[in-house]
This record gives sequence, C-alpha cells and structure tokens, in this order.
Amino acid sequence: MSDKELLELYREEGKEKYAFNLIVKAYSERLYWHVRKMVASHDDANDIIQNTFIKAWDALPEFREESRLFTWLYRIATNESLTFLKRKKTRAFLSLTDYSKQLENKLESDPYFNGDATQKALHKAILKLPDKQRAVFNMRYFEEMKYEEISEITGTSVGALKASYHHAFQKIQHTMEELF
Amino acid sequence: MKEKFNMDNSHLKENPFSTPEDYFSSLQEGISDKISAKREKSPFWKIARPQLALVSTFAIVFLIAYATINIFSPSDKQDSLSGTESQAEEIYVKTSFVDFYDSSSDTLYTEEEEEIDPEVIVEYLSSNTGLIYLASIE
Repeated sequence: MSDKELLELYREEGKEKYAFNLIVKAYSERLYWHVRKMVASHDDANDIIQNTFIKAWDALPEFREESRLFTWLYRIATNESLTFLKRKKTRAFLSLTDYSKQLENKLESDPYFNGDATQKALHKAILKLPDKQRAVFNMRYFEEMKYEEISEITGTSVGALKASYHHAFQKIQHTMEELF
Repeated sequence: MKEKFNMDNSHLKENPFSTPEDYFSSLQEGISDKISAKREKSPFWKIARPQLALVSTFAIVFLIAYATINIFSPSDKQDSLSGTESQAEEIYVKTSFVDFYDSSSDTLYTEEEEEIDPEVIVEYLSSNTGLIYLASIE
C-alpha cells in the first residue's frame, strides 16, 4: 500500500488506528535500523522508536502532506535520536564522563552485534562522529539516500550535506586505514 | 606505500546489528497498545481543551482590563480626597461618641441651673398644684 493510500485510509471515519498500525508495520523496521545505528544500543533504539511513533500518532491529524510520509517519519526519528543523544551527553558532561566512549563500550558489549572486526571498527569510528554528521553519513552510506531526500529530512541544504558527508567519509577512511 | 582502505566494499555496508527474537512484531503490538491507551484518554481532552482555552482567554482579558483600569484611573487624587473625608468622618464619630456618653453633657441643665433656691420651687409649685399636695411636701 502506498503512502497516499495509507493516509486516505487513515482519514476514513473509524479507521485511524487500523491505518496507523499499517504505517507502523510499513516503516518501523527501517526506522529502527536508522535509530539503532545512531545510538548503538538496542534498548535505547527501542525507546526512541516507540516515542517516534507516539509523536507521529499525535501529529498525524495535522500532517498536510507537504512532505512524504516516509520523509516526515524519518525526520521525527532523527530528531528524537538527536534529542536523546544530547540529553545523554549533558548527563555525561555533568558526571564528568565521555559519552562517545560510553557509546563505544555499548557497541563492544552489545549481545546483538554480529559483525566481524572490520565492521566493529567501522561502527566504532562512526560513533565518534558528531551526532548530526553521523546521521547524514548513515543515511547516505548505508541507506544510500539521495541528498535531496536527506535535505528534506534534516532541513539542511544539499551543498552543506555534501560537504558534511565528504568530511565524515574522509575521517572514517583515515581511521580505518590506521587500523587495517 | 600503504593501500587505500576500500570504503565501497559491500561487506562494510551490511547490517551487523540484530534484535531479540520477534522484536518487530512485539514492537508493533507495543505501539498499538500505547496508542489505544492514549485514545481512551483523549475524548475528555478533546472536549475539555477548547473549553479550558476559552475560560483562560476570558481570564486573561479580564486581568488585562482590570490591570489597565487600575493603572490608568486617577486613583491618587481620589485617595487623597477620600482620605480627608474619612479623617473628618472619624473625628466626627469620635466626638459625637464622646459627647453622647459624656456625663456632664448628658444632663439637660447646667450646674448653675441645678442650684435652685427651694423657696422658688415652693413658690412655683404652689402656684400650679393643690394645697393638699403642698402640705404633704412640707
């Protein structure tokens, strides 16, 4: 079912919840992986993804289809992830700890990480990127999104996104070259 | 020279993360349950929210109007006038209260008037009353 059909179904009297469940079914997995790569931990990703859909449910009556449903949901998930990371970093700062180190440790001890040493090194390097740059890098590198789509999600110009991705790519490549 | 690391290797782009078993179906159920719980709460808010908004708007308008009247009305002059009036009233009440209970002012005659010669009294009475009555006095 397309986004348009899902939204039409949602606007039919008494079918809001059914339609929304279909939206969750269509996008939860993709959004989860996007969030998971941002925060590393499954538990954190689970909390963020639930909040994302609850916020989407609350805001869906006001959704005017100025952007695509997929882009809109991605924007909520990205913002939720960034807000979560910011909050965690503030707490870590107050307790005089380094949050990116904590993220690395989470990845190291994650029972749901099945990658090999190269993949682990790559994801550790990605976790060291600034949060917004990491979001851009993940969307472009892993999900192979177009810059125009990322621009819609992040509200950043295509030029700025290209520059951000280029910097992130160089940093990751440099780290990987040092390790392997 | 060290070879450049190949970032385009498709193996690197594979997803190395996994989830607990049946996670996505339980996630969908969990979200559905949370939404159902929210829907049960929402009818009250749907009704109450516009009403509360209306009431608070009226309250704000009233407060603004009240504050404006208080600020821009010539209350200082009125205060000074009413102050004088109230002072005068206070003095009046105090004096009249004292006068009313003052024993000397309460009497109808002065002290001089009270010291009437008994002969004058007898004379006065004898001209107005009967003889029998006069004899009983004597």
